[in-house]
Parts: sequence; C-alpha cells; structure tokens
Amino acid sequence: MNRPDGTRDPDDIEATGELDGIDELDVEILDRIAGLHGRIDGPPDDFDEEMVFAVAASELGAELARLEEQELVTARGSDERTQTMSFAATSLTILLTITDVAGNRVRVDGWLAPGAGHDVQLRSRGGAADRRTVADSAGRFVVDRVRRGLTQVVVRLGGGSLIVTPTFEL
Amino acid sequence: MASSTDPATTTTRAERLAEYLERAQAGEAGAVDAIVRELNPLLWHVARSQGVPSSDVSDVVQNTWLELVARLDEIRSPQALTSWLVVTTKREAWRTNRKRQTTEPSDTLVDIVDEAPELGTDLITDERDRVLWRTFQQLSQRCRQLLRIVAMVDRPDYAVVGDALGMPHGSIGPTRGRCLAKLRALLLADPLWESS
Repeated sequence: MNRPDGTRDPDDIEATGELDGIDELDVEILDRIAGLHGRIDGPPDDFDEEMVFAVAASELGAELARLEEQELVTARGSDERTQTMSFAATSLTILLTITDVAGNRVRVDGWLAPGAGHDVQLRSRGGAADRRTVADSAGRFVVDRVRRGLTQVVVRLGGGSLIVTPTFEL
Repeated sequence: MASSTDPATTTTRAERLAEYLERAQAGEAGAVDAIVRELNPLLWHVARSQGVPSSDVSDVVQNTWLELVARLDEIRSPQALTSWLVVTTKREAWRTNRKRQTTEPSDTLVDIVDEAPELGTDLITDERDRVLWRTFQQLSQRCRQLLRIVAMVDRPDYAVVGDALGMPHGSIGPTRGRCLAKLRALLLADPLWESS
C-alpha cells in the first residue's frame, strides 16, 4: 500500500524485503486488488461498531464461550417461537431458551453448568437495555421482557473470572 | 479524534499499532477499539478468503477479537499482533466451516470454496480494474487468497501475513513472489491492460 515510510532500521528493511523488486506497478496491482475486494465483498458499514461492542465486555484473562448449538422451534398451529442456544467455555456451559412475549420482547431462561449463583449480565447494543441478574444455586436464571436486538451474555464467576459469549441477535 | 497528535493521521500503520498496543496493554479501553478499527477489514477478508459466508463473518471475527482482549499481554509487537490475528481468524474460520459441514446438508458445501462472489464485470466501471479482476480470477485459489490478504496490509507485513497463512516462502516477499509475478505477467501480456 502506498503509505509514506518513515525511517526504519536497515535490518528491518532487509528482513521484510523492502529492497526487493516490488515496484510501482506491483503497488498499483495490490492497491487495485484491495479496492476491488473492498467494494465488491467488503465488510458491512456497521462491522466495526459490532466488533467494538463485542470486545467492550471482555477483559484480560476472560474466557470465550463459543456458540455450540442453536435451534429454532415453531409451535405447530401458532406463531409462538422458541429458540435454544448453547455456549461452551472450558469452565462453564451456558444454555439459553428464548421465548417470544408480548410487545416484541423475549423471555430468556438460562442455565449455567456447573450450577452456582454467578452474576449474569445481558448486554444490549447501546447499553440502555442492559439487564442484570444472579443465577440460583443450581445455575438457573430468568430475565423477562428483554428488548430484541444485538445481545451478549457476560457471566462473572464467584472467583472473579469472566466468561463472555459472542454477540447474537435476539 | 483528529488532532495534531492523533496517530491515525501522522504515522505508518506499524507505528500506530505499536502505540495502540502499548496503550491497550496499559489498560486503556479506547486503544483496543483503535486496534479493532485498524485491522477489522483485514480480518473480514481473511475470513471471506477462507470460505466463510458473509453472514457468518461477524461470528468468526468477533471470536478473534474476544480472544485477543483475553490474551493481550502475550502479544509482543505490532507484527506479532497482525500475525496472531490472521492465524486466529483462520483457525476460527475453520472451526465455523467444520461446524457448518456437519450441520448442513451436503449440497450447501459449495459455500466452502466461495471465497469471493462471482461478479458481472459490468459492475466495475474502471477499465483497468475490469481487466485486473478478470485476470485475477485465472489465478489458483491459493494465489487469490494470498493476494487478497496481502493487498490489505502494508509492505513490511507481506511476509508476516504469508507466514501466518501458511504460504511457502517465496509466494510473496521478500521477492515479488510467485503469485504476484504471475498476475503481473498475465496483465502485461494483455493489450487491454496496456492500453487502458
């Protein structure tokens, strides 16, 4: 890419091949490849904001609970939908059952395993609708009338360590 | 954001990343955001080049960023940062692809090699871009993957990214590299490239 180079250590220049045969045409070709892919298949406009929202919940030493399973069940003969999601970290599994309730909101029934009374936060983008609760000793928790939107579950374990899920659309 | 001391406007990417990394490791949350904004497009293209459908890229790349925040103290330099992010995104992409293969019917597996959309060249208005895009599609899949990613980074990182993607030395920098040399030769042999 065509950025101004500051002065650099000569060893660095040699190691990275800046004295190689890469010329203006190569630079033009690479710039055009970057431009074309950016226009044809680049990230959506809010990609940065989505990632910035996700990382804000994490901290040094936090554990990522990856999405393992996701299933949507629609009850026969009704509009009622139930979604189940499971997230797994090394030290904790998080199961969520998400049910539609009135007013375009959802009820989240959660279960942490192994069960314990951890602090649970449902983060929502924008922060206005963040919800907090504490699981019971079996690891169960309920958060009712949760606003739909981009959401992330953050669990603070008794010992202080943090488990974060990726964001997902409620 | 824009002030005379704003690193976003005054320095090379490597210098900016070095500063953001230092500030992030000192606990400044905004510095992590700055790293995200600087390298997010690169990670998008890494995930796409590994065949992750656009709808799943957010899941892949945010896992990478969440892992980075958790292990920030292990990263020693801006080059190590870029390399770590590319390797981790590639691994997360594989994980997602494998899961999709086991949960979806096999006729959707065609997604796995869909690393760039097929595109009518009539959507590209610049003649030189049009010739380049058509010629680029003639390269091997590995060369297309590599050049797509290399094009997103600054020159000092060409070799770093090549290594991170598991490409053999010589496929890009410290010499011009096989893939770029091939593309260049094809273009120079194309009268439409020379005349546009």
